[in-house]
Amino acid sequence: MRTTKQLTGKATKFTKKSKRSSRWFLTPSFLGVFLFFVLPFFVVIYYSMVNNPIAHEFVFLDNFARVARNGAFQRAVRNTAVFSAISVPLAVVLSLLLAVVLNQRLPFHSQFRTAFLSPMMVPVASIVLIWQVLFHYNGAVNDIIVNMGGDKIDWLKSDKAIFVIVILFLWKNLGYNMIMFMAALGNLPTDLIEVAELESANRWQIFVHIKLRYMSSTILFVTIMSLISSFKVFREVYLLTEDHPVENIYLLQHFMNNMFGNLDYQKLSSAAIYMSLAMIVIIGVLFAIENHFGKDVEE
Amino acid sequence: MRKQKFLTKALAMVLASAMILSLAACGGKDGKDGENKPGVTTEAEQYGGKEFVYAASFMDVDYTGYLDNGHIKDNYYYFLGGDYNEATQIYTQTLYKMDLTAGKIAPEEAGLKTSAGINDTEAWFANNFAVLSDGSVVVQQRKSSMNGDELENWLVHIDADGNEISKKNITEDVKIEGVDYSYISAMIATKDDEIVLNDGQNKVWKFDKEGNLLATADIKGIQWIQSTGIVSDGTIVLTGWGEEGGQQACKVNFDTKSTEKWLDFTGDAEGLDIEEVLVGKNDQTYVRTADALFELNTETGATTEVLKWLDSDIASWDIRQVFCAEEDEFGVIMGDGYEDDAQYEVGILRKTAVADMPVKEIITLGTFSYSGGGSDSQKAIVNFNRKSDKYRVEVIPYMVEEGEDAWQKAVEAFNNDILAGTGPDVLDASNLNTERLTSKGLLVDLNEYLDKDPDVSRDDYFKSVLETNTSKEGTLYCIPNSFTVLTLAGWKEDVGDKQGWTVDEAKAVFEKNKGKDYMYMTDRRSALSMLLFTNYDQFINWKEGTCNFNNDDFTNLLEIANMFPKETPNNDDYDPAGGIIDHTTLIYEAYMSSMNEYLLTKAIFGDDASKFTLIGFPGNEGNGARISTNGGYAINAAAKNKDACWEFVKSFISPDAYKASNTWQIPSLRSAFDAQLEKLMVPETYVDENGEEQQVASLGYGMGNHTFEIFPPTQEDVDAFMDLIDNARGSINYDQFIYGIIEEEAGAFFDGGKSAQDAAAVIQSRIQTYLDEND
Repeated sequence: MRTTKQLTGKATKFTKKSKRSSRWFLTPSFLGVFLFFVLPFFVVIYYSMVNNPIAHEFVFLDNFARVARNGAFQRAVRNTAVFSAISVPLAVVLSLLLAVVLNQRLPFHSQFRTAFLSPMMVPVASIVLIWQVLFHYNGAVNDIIVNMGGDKIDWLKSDKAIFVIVILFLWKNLGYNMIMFMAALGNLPTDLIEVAELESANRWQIFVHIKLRYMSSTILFVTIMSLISSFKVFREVYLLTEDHPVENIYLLQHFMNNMFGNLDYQKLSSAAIYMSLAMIVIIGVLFAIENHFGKDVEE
Repeated sequence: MRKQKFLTKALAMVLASAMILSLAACGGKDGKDGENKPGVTTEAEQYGGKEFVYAASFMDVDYTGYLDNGHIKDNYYYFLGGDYNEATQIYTQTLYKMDLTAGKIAPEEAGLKTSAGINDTEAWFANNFAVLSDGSVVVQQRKSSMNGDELENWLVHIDADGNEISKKNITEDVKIEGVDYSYISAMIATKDDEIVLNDGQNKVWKFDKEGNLLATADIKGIQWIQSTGIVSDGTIVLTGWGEEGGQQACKVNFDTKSTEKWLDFTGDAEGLDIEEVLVGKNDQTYVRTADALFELNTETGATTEVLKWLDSDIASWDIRQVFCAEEDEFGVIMGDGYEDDAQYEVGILRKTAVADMPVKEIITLGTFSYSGGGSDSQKAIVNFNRKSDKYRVEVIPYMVEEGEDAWQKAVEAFNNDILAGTGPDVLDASNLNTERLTSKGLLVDLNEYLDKDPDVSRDDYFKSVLETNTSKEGTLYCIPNSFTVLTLAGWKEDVGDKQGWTVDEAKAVFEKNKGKDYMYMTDRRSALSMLLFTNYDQFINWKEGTCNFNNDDFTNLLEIANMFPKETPNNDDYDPAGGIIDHTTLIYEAYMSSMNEYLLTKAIFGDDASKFTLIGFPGNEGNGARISTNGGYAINAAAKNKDACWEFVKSFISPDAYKASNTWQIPSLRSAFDAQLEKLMVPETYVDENGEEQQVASLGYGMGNHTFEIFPPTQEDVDAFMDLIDNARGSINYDQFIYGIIEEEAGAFFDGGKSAQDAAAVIQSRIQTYLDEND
């Protein structure tokens, strides 16, 4: 239904008044967002440009240069990038595969679905406890390896730690992504698929050219959510290995958390801004890709 | 459309303003007239914004010597003084009283005098006394035989002239089952002149003034009685530690023959240790704690703070007795120690409006201890406040709660204040992570003051002490008042005769002595802590931010620690010397906070310096001894008046401060240590029954079954100790994160899960990350 303005091109007194009063109703929310999101954002920028909170001397980009040169930050960025590069694609692909399989209406498919969803409901601390029991130097996994004739592996304190974290991440997040994909698969236009079948398209062609194209927005969403979750895996890593884990699982949030503990708010703020910029670029790229591949679907 | 554009522009302006405003460094305290004058304080800021304080005037007491167990009666303070005559070897006790209203306070004898000499077959010793309404005194005395085996308790009633009125043996009356001799810890007189005694743990007894037992009561639900008092309605009150934890106050009920819970203290004194209960002129009840005096509502248990001792320029550690002089007036008897040369004074505290007090510039002192610091800290604050016309130090205690996480909360609150720019001007450095604070420029470098101040000089202080308190950037952040020397000692035949050893040499010695107890009650983790605490800085290059734990020295240290037992048995009998004496223990950890403890170490090794070596902690430099400091004050870089702060910090380490101090700990000031040594080296002798001159031990230490007598040091002892101090290294600033990582990873090695090299590799990885963060 079109508004009066859309019909006549003019705003009536009533619409003008309702717009004015709606602004007043929006003001408390706006103030809240401003106070708790926008203003702190600018405070972070401020902290990143002064030398310390007592002297308040403006140093422009010196803190950014210092952080960029910092060995721990470089290591954290590298590790976070590697972790995200491994875990995010795996999370998307594996959850999509699971969704496709479970969409086939196999026997016990709803029980399987519940089983994959249940890790989401388990508190992080409990998950970490289980992982410690499994992957401790004297844990269950090493027991199995030793029984099979191998040597014990220090899973959490060696270069193998990254695999433990990837498995933990996938175990925790596959269920949620799978549900997203299952919902998207359920909303695909069946008439198009029928037409394609009639036109002798095989299942792979139907999957790639129709289903994936129609699911592009969901894939984008799942990818972004998985990317964000990959940054939040710090929680599990921190509980497993605390402030200063071995080098290859030292992530960006370890760096920022420790800077907070060291009261080095300048490095913390600068690192946070670097991370924000990186996220903006990555998400921007993802949106651009989705726009390209999903454009005709939206039309 | 136009309106929308306007709103969009307005929003952009607001956001831009937020950015610009946040860039501006505005703010600061306004003075009284609204001007922003750093260093000026207002009336409203004095004494924490209170309306009234109790201003003190002080009078010296014309008495030096031992003073204890006092009671106030009318305007007199009665106390037992003691004096030992070296020539006659007779110890004399005298009961004194002094008129607190006199212009000059001087004690006069109050009738009781006892004496005990070395040649007496029995000795009478006055433990406690109480003053009755007619001015006569009942004294609880201990009679002992010469060998100390037969001990009896007596009650002796004497008149004001010292004439004995009655005397009764109450040993059987106060006997407790299973206890050979009942030590009476407190004694008071009721308004009816009945005498109430307790032993601090088990029982309360009531006697008449002739010594006839009237009633008893068992002490239940409370232990370690701290105070015994009588409130205005005649209730006898005991305060102490409850059996379920926390402070408790009990009343004595002789009818039920037991103590009963009296009140739960709420309000300002809740949870605090009550040291004294006293009654005011108008029957109010007051309770005294380490920090303050509170008025107590005896019906509800609610307490209200009346005064803080530091506000009245009183160091609570020095308080012997508090009394209510008049309405809104209190008196305090204070002594600056418990030695023969202790000095005393009486303070009269009168309620005064803060508006009538002189306005001084406030220097805030942040401390983590509950009552503003130890004895020396309090004395420093009080002496500074009394002497300074311009400045006044006010304490901000950060540890305001009790419980497991109280310390963590105090640290967080402190850090938040420092960063917000509202932290205290002067900081108690004893529990700060000073390395972290100096690396961020949050502490003032005292080098500048040390070099410019005409009253103090760098050379006045021990170099290793200054080194210990200098950060890796070269900032001297505090000068502590005293320090301790830590080292390891062993028999020469075991450890050699050279001071200092490398890690390889230490490992060889430990391997050679397998089967021996390496160190008393030391397991692997304690051994690692001991080895690393003084050593891990050799594996870290702080300047370059690198570490090297992947080397043989570190793995050797882990392996040395691994040679120690996994666990040590619980041993209630503390006897670290026994194993050294019979050569079954290899190393003795010598913790020397005074010259006497060096002499103790020597005494443990047979009192012969040629037979043992102060080998030190394994490492690559020096004699292996380390300096450990505690306390001292640092200045906040955000303090408005740093010069004033320095004046206070200096007062804590000045020659006058050491003169006023009673500590025997090693002073950081060389001249103060020289003065201490001069006193210590004076021998005391006596003539025995054969007419021969014998030296008197200055001190005795008991360890398990062994007793060590310490005699005045010789010049050789002094030279050896000074040499140890001068060549000791400053101890590194203990970094809990680094040590935590090492301890965690070493645990896996100690449990047999990893090799020392694997553990070292993980330690290297994790600590390098930590160092990189702090680059």
